[in-house]
Amino acid sequence: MSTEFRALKRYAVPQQFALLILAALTWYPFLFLLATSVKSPNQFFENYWWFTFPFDWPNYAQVWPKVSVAILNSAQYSLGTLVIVLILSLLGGYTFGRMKFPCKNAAFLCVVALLMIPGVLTLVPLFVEVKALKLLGTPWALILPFAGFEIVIGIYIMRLFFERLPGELFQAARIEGANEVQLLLFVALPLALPGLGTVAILDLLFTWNELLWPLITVGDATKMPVAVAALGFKGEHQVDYGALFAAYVSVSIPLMVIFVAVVRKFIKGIEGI
Amino acid sequence: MATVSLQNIDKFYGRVQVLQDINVEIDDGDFAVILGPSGCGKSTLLRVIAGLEEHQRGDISIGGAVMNATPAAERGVGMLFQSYALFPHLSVSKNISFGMRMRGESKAVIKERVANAARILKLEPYLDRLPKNLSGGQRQRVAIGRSIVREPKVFLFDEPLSNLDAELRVEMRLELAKLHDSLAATMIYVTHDQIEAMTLGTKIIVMHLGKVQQVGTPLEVYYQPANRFVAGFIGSPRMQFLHGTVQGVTAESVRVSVPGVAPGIIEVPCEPDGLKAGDQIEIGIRPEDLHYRGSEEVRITGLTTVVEYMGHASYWYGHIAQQDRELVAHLHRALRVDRGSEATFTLNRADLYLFDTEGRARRRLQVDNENLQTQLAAAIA
Amino acid sequence: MTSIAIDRAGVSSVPQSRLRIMSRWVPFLFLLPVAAELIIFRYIPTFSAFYHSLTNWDGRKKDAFIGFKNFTDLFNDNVFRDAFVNMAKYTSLRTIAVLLFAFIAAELIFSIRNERVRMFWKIAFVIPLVVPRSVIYLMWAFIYDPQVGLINEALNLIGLGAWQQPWLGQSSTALGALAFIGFPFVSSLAFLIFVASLEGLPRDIIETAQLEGCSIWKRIWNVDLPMLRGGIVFVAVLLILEGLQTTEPQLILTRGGPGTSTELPAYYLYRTAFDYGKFGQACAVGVVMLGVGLIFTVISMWLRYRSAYDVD
Repeated sequence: MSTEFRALKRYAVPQQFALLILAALTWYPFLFLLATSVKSPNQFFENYWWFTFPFDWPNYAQVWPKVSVAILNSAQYSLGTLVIVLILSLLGGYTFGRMKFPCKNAAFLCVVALLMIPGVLTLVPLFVEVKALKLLGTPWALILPFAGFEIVIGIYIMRLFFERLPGELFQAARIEGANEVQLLLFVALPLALPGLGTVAILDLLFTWNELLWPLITVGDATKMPVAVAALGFKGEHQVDYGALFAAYVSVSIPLMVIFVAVVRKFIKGIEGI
Repeated sequence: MATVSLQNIDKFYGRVQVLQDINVEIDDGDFAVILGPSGCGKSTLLRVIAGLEEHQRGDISIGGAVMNATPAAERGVGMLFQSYALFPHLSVSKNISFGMRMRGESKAVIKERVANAARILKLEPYLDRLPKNLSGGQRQRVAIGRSIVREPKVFLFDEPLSNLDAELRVEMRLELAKLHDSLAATMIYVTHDQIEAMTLGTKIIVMHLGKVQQVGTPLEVYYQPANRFVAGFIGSPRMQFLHGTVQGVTAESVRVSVPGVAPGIIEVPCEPDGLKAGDQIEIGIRPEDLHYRGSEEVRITGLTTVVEYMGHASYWYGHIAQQDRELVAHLHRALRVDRGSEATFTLNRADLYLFDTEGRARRRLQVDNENLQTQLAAAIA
Repeated sequence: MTSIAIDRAGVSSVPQSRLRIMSRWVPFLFLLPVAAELIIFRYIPTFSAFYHSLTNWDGRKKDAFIGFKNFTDLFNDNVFRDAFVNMAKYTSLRTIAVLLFAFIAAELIFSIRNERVRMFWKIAFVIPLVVPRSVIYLMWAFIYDPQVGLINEALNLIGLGAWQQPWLGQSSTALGALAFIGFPFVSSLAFLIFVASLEGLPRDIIETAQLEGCSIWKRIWNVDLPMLRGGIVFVAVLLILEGLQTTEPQLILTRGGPGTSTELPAYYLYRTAFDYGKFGQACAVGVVMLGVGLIFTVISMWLRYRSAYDVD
């Protein structure tokens, strides 16, 4: 990001000032969270507004056992969902984007119409169904329903993506003798990676954040994903804000690290939709 | 290596007929060029031959075997696309060997054939590069390489030069001609560029509105166009047309009067083929056949609209008042004529082209061109 | 060489190729897992919700068909009516606020010519998007905290200690406080979509407007806004659908209180089902929510495509 900082200096204009204020308002609460997470209770009352030194690391050590369990749970649910979402979005997007078959438009409409069905409508029946399928208590109770929601937008994005790829690539592969499965694996899949990246980030944002569904389907407190576990920390660390915020910061970090690495590509991907 | 035979090919998109009764025989080793304006169905025809699109009627035979029901991969064709269709995620050698790997050929065979193709196409230094790191000409050679390792019976080219800049286009044109010589393979080449067609083709198939207009050697389609469309399409600047009336016919000529053109009765040496006195006709004049104040017997005077000086030549644009038609002359030297002034051109009556009201051409009988004579003689022999 | 008789007058004489006969099944084969997933986890629950909205289902005993009783009960329930009114206030407030701030930020970034600087600001605003929403709400719980919260501390700092409020603890401010969560609303997909749409505008149109002596405000009003109509309506629909489904601030912060001041229909649905066990009634709430969502979407689409210049 250093090159951007340098460029920033040269283009100091009034708009930048307005943006700076918006950015400060956006970021200050997070910085406050971060600052408080490395304060002892005394430091918290000494200097409420900003970082104090030295940093008080034991807050993190104190919450880590529980936080790490929550992160591992979330990772399990998110990765499981991610694998299914990517496979099905690739299959659906490729089939709708690059193949001809009868009733294609009607079939596609059946997929995107689901965008209009809000999750709350199906909350209760889906819960009863998952229970009847004996999925409760297993990761599948989260993974499969999550995937059902996320593949809709995934297929939509991947269809757009495949339609924009030059058709000649697929025809060339066909002339070269590739069969349908080879076409999917050796041509469509590698070409689709940028689109799948966008789908993956959108999916991770969704699964990492979802609160209501795990709240009603996950009974065991040790199996809770971070979104639910974060609520529990509040009860445990009532006024120990340092430890509480250390927990909040810890559960935010894994996705943040991934996101910072790919944020440019993600922005470009969203711009392509 | 193989012949390609198309018999009575019809193709529809829904209810729109895009190919209409196509009949073409392409001989072993031919470089056949399908030439036509955009939307004439030429690319569709190529894709039908490749097996990428299905046709509704007629037979496609490659090397004597009917291929109507054969999937594209099994027709023994290699195809070069306009965009080259190189897989952006694969290196040059992986691109070239793609088909062999899909068919599960042994590593040794793949290695040997890739090396061979790379040597022929001078791609050896680039085998590990990705397509994005190659120049336009190199990309085209990779695409050719991908086709030749399969040793196809027929090569199909879909406007392969149209993405290149002018200089590279000339260079690649020569390379394609050389490739044809060295492989002695049957090639079918689609283009809208008549220069590519004339320089590369041993056989030109002119298409318009989904129909074949004429099949012939480059010089045949130029000097003996089958109809007004072919005559107007081939040649630059285009042939100009004036209308006239038949005054009488002999076995080897048609006497016509053309308003604005002297003398009053011109004897055009061509087969009358049904024309009779009183019929309306059109005569075609190629800009390069006109000479400024020459000694030939046919004279045309027009009002100068504009003169373009190209250096090595100049184009004169004028108006023939008696016909209310435009005339263009291609002159081999700078011509000083003022706008609005009259200019007189002459041409040989044997250089006139004659078309009936349906646009069908009459066979010209005194084509005064030595090259053509030898070409025609070779074709007959 | 002609192996197949050509019927000039009649139908196709070309048999289907083997490849095409095989490949006819391939699309359906590829779509099979997609269809299975969507039918089991989306379509069956959807139809189940419609059916059970007409029953006294509780998830255990066999349910009985009771017609529209669930719906009449709902509209006679004061809590549900309050929830509905709250939803209208909350959603409209939030939608307008998010659209406004996201648009302002997008215009500010768009006015910067240097692409690197633009990317810097985009990244700066987008990164907080990945902080888990639970954490955001918990963070705002602290911001609104009556004793040590940021807002009350800040008021104290600038000498306005008298204005301190228990923001979430009194009915007069609770709903407004919830709608305000996430201020200044720039860290959102809405913002990204606006920036992308603005950057997608043809530069020559913007420059023509400048050459014609169009001030920036006039340009935004006469050029940018009309050309961004598609993006704005899309974002508005997303925000409205999100508003309809909001349960998180209630689950994390207010439990719908004080009183019914922050009750929203989606949270009401959750409680009806999982606190009171009235599954049939909960499905009826869901059906009502779907209806409201569809009405808003249709209105938005109408606004979008009414005399639209950019679609056929």
